Amino acid sequence: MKETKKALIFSGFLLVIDLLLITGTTFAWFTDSIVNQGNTIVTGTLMADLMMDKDENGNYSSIIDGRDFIFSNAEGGNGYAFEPGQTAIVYLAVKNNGQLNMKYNIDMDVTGELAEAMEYALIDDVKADTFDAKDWEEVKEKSNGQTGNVKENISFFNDKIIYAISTPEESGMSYFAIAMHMKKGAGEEMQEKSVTINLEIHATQVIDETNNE
Amino acid sequence: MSSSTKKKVIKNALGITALIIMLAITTFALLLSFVGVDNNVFEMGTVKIELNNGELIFDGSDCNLEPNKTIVKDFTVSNTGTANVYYRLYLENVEGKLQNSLNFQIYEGEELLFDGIASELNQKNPCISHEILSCGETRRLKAVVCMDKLSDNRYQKGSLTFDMTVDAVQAKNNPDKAFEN
Repeated sequence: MKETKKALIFSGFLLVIDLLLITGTTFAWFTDSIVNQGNTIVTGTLMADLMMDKDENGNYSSIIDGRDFIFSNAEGGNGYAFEPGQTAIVYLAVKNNGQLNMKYNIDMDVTGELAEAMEYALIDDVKADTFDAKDWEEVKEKSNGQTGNVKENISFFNDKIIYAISTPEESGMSYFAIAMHMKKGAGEEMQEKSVTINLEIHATQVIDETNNE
Repeated sequence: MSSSTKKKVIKNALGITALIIMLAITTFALLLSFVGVDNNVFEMGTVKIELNNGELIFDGSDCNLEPNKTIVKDFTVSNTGTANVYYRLYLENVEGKLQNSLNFQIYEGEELLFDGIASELNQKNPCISHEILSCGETRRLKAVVCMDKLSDNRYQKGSLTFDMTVDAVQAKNNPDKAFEN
């Protein structure tokens, strides 16, 4: 009886081995595998710079991060101390320093009592050597309506695309000028008053025909 | 020993001898009836696959992705073996912060094989060809990668790296398109 039991267990074991072998055989196929290694997808960068032609000689330099001021009577500034009827013009540019084409808006954040005595005008596509206006009225005329009284928040929307440097259409720069004018009727009470204007450039991507669809 | 017994022994001996001779002749005749065909060769079929002729599909040089921008890359899968195959395609070693902001679509002709983020296109959830890729056939596929339009500045200067793997398995005796792993 003991021997029969042993034989039965051994037979069972052999059957299991047989089944495993059959299964293994059934699942054997010819295969091949290949790997395409090192694929990379990267995003571009969007980076704008604000530049100024301080000396009006065509040389633009960056003025962001406190490197320079647009209107300033302080040492090293461009020496504008306003008086009634005076107009000051600065020549600026937004530069595309990134890899993506972009559009931008300009926001002016204004604080200070002198603001109520001031007017502004923004003129697109001008440089110092290409802009000529005899007086404030002519400056306003050339601004195509981008003019008004200086107030708390002023925004200019620009639909123009600044192409990234790597594209064929490159200039990488968008030129404009900001003019400030102190109203002729500003009274004595405005003496020694000041206005602080923070200029912010908001750049955003442009999905255009270069989309590789 | 009686005479009759002797006769019987002799008879039997003769009979045995005759049988041995007959057996020998038969065996000899049998041997002579064999015909030899030498140098029979059984060659095994091969399963061999090629992906985009070994060239990198996304080399990162012409992407500059931005939110809502799409890039499209064509690539090929070729059967360079001698057996018809099924193939499956998936991504491995997916790394980089763009993992969740890029959507992948894989097309075989007009048929969409996969639509999802890169990490979802893995060995457990691969694109599998529905049609047999015959030996010598090259099939053109298309990868469409779109950056989520809601991706913000966190994804600037980001990247995604991955390996694209294609496995092939014989089509014969494999109706379920079963791969080894």
